[in-house]
Amino acid sequence: MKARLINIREIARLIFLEGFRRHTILGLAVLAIATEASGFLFMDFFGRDLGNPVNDFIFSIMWFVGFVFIFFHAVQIMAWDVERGFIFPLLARPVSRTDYVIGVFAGLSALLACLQLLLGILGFLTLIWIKGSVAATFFPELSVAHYLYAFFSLLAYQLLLIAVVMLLSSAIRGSFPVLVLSFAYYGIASGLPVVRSMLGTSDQQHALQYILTLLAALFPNPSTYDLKADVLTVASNLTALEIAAGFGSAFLYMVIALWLACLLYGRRDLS
Amino acid sequence: MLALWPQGPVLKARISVLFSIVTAGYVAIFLAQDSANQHTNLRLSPPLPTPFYEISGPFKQLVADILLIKTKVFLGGRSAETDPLSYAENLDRQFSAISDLHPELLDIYYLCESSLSWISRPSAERSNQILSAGLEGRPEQWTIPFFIGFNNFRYLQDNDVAIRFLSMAANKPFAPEWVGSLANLLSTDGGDIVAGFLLLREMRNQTVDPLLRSNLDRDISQYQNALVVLRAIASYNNINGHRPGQLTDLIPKFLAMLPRMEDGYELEYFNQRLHLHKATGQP
Repeated sequence: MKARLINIREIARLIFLEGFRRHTILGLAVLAIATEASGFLFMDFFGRDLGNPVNDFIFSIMWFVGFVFIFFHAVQIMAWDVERGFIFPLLARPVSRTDYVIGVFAGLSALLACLQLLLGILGFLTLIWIKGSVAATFFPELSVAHYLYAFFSLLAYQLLLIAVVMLLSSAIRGSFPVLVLSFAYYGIASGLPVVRSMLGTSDQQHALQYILTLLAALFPNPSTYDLKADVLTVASNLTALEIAAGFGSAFLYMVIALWLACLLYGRRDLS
Repeated sequence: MLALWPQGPVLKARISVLFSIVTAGYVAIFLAQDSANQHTNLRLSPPLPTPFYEISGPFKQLVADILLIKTKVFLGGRSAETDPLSYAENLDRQFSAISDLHPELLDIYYLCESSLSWISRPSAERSNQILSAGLEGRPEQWTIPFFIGFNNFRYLQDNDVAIRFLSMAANKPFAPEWVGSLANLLSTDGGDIVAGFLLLREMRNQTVDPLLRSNLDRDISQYQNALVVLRAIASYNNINGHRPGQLTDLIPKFLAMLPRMEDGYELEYFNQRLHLHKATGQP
């Protein structure tokens, strides 16, 4: 067991260092900071409620940068291992395919966490700075606890998405089909709640309701993990059960997706 | 055949000339288009149905912010001659979409109140529906129920509903004391005229824009005319022990003549109570 953990740690380290070597973190951080800086030029359009647009902007950039990382870095890392033959020297050593899948997931997750941590700290400092520079009427509340909760919820969903990318990569060859399917997954996950709310709770469509509920379990709604609106509210009452349920469901979904990815990767013909 | 085709420096020179012509053509067409676009009056297009925006998931609040900026750019850039009724419906749709996507954003309600409520009676009703989203999105704000109360009082002339919302506003944290006084005043006889006068006077005192101040001055003068009639009715009541049957009974003892109402205002004496109305569509 200890040897397996060492294998996983070493693969994760390789993936992590590869991310730095390819300037992934640097490039995305520069992109995010440049976007934030240019976006603040538009803040003059908001005369009454400065906190909300700034908060929206900071979190939207974190979501966006995370998606760019997942769709354009994580997808390619998984595909390149096979397409460029990086995987063979690794698997020639006593490393199981399961160790490999978990190691890559851990490496990509660590990279994403580093990136989001950097943006999260910068975002929080920006909020504090703006709150301090305007009157309380224009930016009345900023909750550190809710900011942390919104941040970790965002991170939880994006880690879940990496697990899905791992699952798709284990089943399909090539980065492009995986990219297309990852987009499709995200599109369905975002669109499904809209379909469900439009159909409502009509009693006449029991079968359809069940199918949609099943699909909602397969494609978790990203908006459930989007809690940025709470960062600026005073009256939001979070319960420990709600927090545990949110993170617990994301964690279990990740475990299932990775489990399936390991199963599929184990049976896959890599030649 | 190849020999006929110029080569070497001649070919390079011709390619350079051709490239310059193509580039100059592009620049000329671009400048013509750009100039034409700048002369076009700004138009506010209707938003897509809200579900399309909701698909954007965690970005929907940012989408709402962008739609609000677009609306502000239109309102700030439209020509002075633009008929408000020509854009009222699209403005209503924009605000509805924005408040559906991001009900916590306070700027929507201030902009909605200042740009949509006064256009027409249906606009005031729609404005109140949009503001209702703010009651849930920003329950701690006193200004949102105040706006709904104000719209009911001024544009919909429904004082009972106005009193309810003004009282709600008065009970919110940080609500100024005068909001509660307004609610009480409205429930008294002729209180709507006194309340309207006090409100408009307060608005004028806080307005910097000279054009808005002059518009408010005109409104205030109409309310002052109504107050004169109100005082005459009170004097008649004190002396005769009952109210006049009609306003002309006040002439000449209590009033030399009935004041001439302007700017769409009209006095109505119904059930021995005086009301001041403003025709819809008047800013």
